[in-house]
Amino acid sequence: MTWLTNTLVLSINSHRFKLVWLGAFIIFLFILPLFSGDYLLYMVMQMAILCLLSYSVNLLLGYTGLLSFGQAGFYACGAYACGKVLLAGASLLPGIVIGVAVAAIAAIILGFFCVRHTAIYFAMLTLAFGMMIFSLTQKWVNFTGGDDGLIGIPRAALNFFYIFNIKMDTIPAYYYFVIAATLIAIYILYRILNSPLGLIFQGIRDSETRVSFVGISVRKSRLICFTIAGMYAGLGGALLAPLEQTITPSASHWINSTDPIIATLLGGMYNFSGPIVGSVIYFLLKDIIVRFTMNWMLILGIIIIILVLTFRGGVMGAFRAYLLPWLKSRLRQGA
Amino acid sequence: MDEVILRSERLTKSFGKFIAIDNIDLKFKSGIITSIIGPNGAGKTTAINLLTGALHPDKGKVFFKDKDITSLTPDQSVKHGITRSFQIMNIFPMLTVLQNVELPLLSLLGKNLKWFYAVSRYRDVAEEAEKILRELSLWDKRNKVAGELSHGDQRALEMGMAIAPKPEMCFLDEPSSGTNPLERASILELIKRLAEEGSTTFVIIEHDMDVVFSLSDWTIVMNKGKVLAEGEPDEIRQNKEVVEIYLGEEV
Ligand SMILES: Nc1ncnc2c1ncn2[C@@H]1O[C@H](COP(=O)(O)OP(=O)(O)OP(=O)(O)O)[C@@H](O)[C@H]1O
Ligand SMILES: [Mg+2]
Repeated sequence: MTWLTNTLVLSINSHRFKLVWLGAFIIFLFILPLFSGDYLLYMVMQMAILCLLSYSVNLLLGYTGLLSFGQAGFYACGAYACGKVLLAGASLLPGIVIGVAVAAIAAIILGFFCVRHTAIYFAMLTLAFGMMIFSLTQKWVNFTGGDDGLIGIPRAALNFFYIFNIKMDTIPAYYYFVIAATLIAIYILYRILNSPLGLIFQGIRDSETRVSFVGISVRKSRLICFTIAGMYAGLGGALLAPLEQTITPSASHWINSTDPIIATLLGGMYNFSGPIVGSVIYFLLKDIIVRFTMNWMLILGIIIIILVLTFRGGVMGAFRAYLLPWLKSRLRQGA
Repeated sequence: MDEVILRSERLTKSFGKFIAIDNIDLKFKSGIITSIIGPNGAGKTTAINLLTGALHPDKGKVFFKDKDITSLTPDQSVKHGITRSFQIMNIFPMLTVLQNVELPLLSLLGKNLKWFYAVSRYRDVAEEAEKILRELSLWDKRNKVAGELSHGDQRALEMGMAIAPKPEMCFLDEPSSGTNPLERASILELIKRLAEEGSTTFVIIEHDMDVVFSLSDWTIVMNKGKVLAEGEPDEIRQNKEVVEIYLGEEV
């Protein structure tokens, strides 16, 4: 038993072992299709997409101190744009890239109006934007297909000129694409958050006035942050389109803004891996609770209340604050 | 070194009907430490807010080295070489001590849009940050979260953030407020040293008379949004009006 706690503590603490854990996790993701059915892969892809949305939320919330209720809007922008492009017969990569680009443009335009406001006004404006996109997806029938949505989106092949051409029509093939895209996106975000730009975001979270008095434009930095966040939500949406092959207005429903907020709180918003942990737990919780009771919302509500009242730092925060010291003390007793 | 580096012309600022700054002309000479004193609510902080771009005046202008800077935003004013600290502690409490001084250096060294490599990869930022933290005697605490430092250390850190951009002019709003006598002494020592070593012109708001008279070369007394008197500390000490309105309270 001691050697187990021993290894555990070591592996949690040191940087090298963190990398080992990470490596094991990635290998697990990549060998998963070898022994699992399509349904599980489909679920993992859904988790990955929720995870991207959660990173989008947490870049704003945990790192820059802005609560957005409108990320579903960018998610829908990405989904519809990618769907349209694929329906027009393009291959996968242009679909994804254009999906992300459209979300980025939407974020720049909305951000221009939003980022000068703080806290409550920012939240309200983003909420209003999400609602606008929702009704747009329903009412702009010529473009979005109205309530029926975009139907028959092909899971187009991944080709790059004549260099490679990989078919995406099976679930495992598309699974690899989604996992790779998600991991790359998360890695890039990790770099951003540790870079000068990321430090500025965190400075804005701590004190806006201080940031402006060290010579940095808060508005400009916030606009950059909001645009990056929009792109991450857009990527999530773009990956969704070929997965579901149908995109309906439900993509822009506000629940796609609030789910990632809850997942982020659950995982821990001041921890880089919070959104991943939160998304997985949230997804599983939802899936499990729904099997036992129809009152899924009630149980979820209770969980959120407990979380907000007791574990502000979420699962990862609690892990650091309670479990880690406990493991260490166990280790010391054992030795 | 007697040239005026920053001045205001008929500066006025009201909050609703209340006139906080009433038509004042301020002048700050370069290379010396100027202090601003005055009773609570005299308008000292508001004056600094107007001079640094945190607030914009209703009327009047601000000139920095004869350039009109009245309508600059804070970040632009920092780029022109004007920085400040705050009466109410204003640091980045969740960031580490090191990150707190790295932030002001990013904009100075033109790194604020770099988005891929870790901050620690930029040698110039790292070297400069180390220099500043050693000066503040905070190098050993560089990996601590800033919000967990003692009050005195936080004050010192805030000062470090104000001088990191190598300003020509630095306003310190009650830099020793809330500190114990020991911390206060070391902060004053720090200001004195920075003023002697560097090329920064300091303006300090202070309540503590000992500080004012020991540290500054020139004193401006404010009351009710106006300049009541200004002069060398010794003159001010003997000014009857000042003694009545301000010093009288304390003695
Ligand atoms: N944003 C504001 N809105 C309304 N009134 C304000 C505002 N800022 C300052 N005031 C008022 O202006 C007056 C001057 O305030 P200021 O903070 O400049 O005084 P001060 O000289 O710095 O005083 P202290 O020594 O207490 O710091 C005060 O009466 C204050 O209540
Ligand atoms: Mg004041």
